Amino acid sequence: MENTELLYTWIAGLIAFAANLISFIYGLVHFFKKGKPLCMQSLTLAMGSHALGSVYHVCQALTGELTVEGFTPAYLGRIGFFLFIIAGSYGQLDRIVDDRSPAMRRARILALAAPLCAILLYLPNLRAGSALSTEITYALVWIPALFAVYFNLKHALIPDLDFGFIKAIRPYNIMTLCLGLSELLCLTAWEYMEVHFLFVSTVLFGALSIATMIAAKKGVDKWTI
Amino acid sequence: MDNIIYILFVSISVPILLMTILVEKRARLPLAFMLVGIVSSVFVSEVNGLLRTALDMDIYRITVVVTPMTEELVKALPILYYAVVISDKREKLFTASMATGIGFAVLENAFYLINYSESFSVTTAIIRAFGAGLMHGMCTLLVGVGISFVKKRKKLFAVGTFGLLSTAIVYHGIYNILIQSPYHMVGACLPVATYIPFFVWRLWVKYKQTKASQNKS
Repeated sequence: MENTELLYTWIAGLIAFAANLISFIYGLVHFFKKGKPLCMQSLTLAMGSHALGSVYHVCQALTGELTVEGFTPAYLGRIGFFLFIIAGSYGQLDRIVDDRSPAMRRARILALAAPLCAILLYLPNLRAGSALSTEITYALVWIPALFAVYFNLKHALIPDLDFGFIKAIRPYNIMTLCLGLSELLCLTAWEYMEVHFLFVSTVLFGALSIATMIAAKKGVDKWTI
Repeated sequence: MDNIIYILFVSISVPILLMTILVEKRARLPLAFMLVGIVSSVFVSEVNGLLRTALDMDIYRITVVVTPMTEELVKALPILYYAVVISDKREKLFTASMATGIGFAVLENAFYLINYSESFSVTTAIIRAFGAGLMHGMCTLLVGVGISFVKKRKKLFAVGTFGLLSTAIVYHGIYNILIQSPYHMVGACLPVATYIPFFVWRLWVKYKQTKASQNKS
């Protein structure tokens, strides 16, 4: 790998790490208190998990031994990121917001647009001509991502019939959806080693991760349950 | 000397095993888990050997990608079993997990010492003791302490366990990357840098417990 590429990936990793670290600390301060919703604690852990993955990449780039192909422990941070989002969205929120009534059917069907969009983001990776091990690794990240973005869009679209808090946490769900998709964009940029695209998508991801935490805090403050 | 790991295993674990049987009940837990760590180390050395042949990777990639995963998973399994089946008390998990990690490191360090004896000096021994030795302890400790938290939050248990294991694996991977790089001193200091906050936290918890018991009496 060329020095310019290494430098760009190092800076990109550092941006992602810094943004995740800020988000993680913000979450620890605001959501790890008694009575705060578990889904926000889960979101905080998602940020922590991604920060770890980023720091692994930073170290690899720093030592000049960056491995792009195949699986590295850094991907565990990314898989964990999406799994923690699912744990919050499906594990806690979904039971409360979706009572399986026909009124919610529209949201459930429309929400399929998010995983569809994620699948479309995966397609360029298949055309990148990478090793099978890389494709499998990416699939391992994409599978939880499909579920995460589905629930985020569903909760953003679902009508607020009784509680009022669905409306309150709508910005958080929209932000988390964008965050998930921007992470998938970062991975695509990473696969193509398109450094400028990687840099832009990482900056977007970093900004969105901080914005998500702020939206989550505002949502929780309005949450009346 | 192909079976040196087994020679070390017998010579280190048998005295510990005999002592474990004799000592008081309270002292048995750390000793028993040290033995678990030593057994894990032997098991992992075989698994790593098999994977190295099967995956056809160079030694650098094996150490930064494969060994962190195999070693952390094998070390964490007894702790997870203990937490789920026997006890999820934080104090016990703290002791058990640290002992497993240190037991693992004892055998690994002894193995390195014998295999690379010509390049070993007191300095490298100190680096290895505070670096790899403590790193194994810290990684397993993280899983042990973390599991006592996530066990109480049922909805986070599965994902939380995954998160803890990934944290330990990534931490181990980062250590292995740094220790083989020009920044090896940063790598060597990493476990100490994480040990100190744990140590301060333990002191703080003990201080609070003592104060609470004094207030009660």
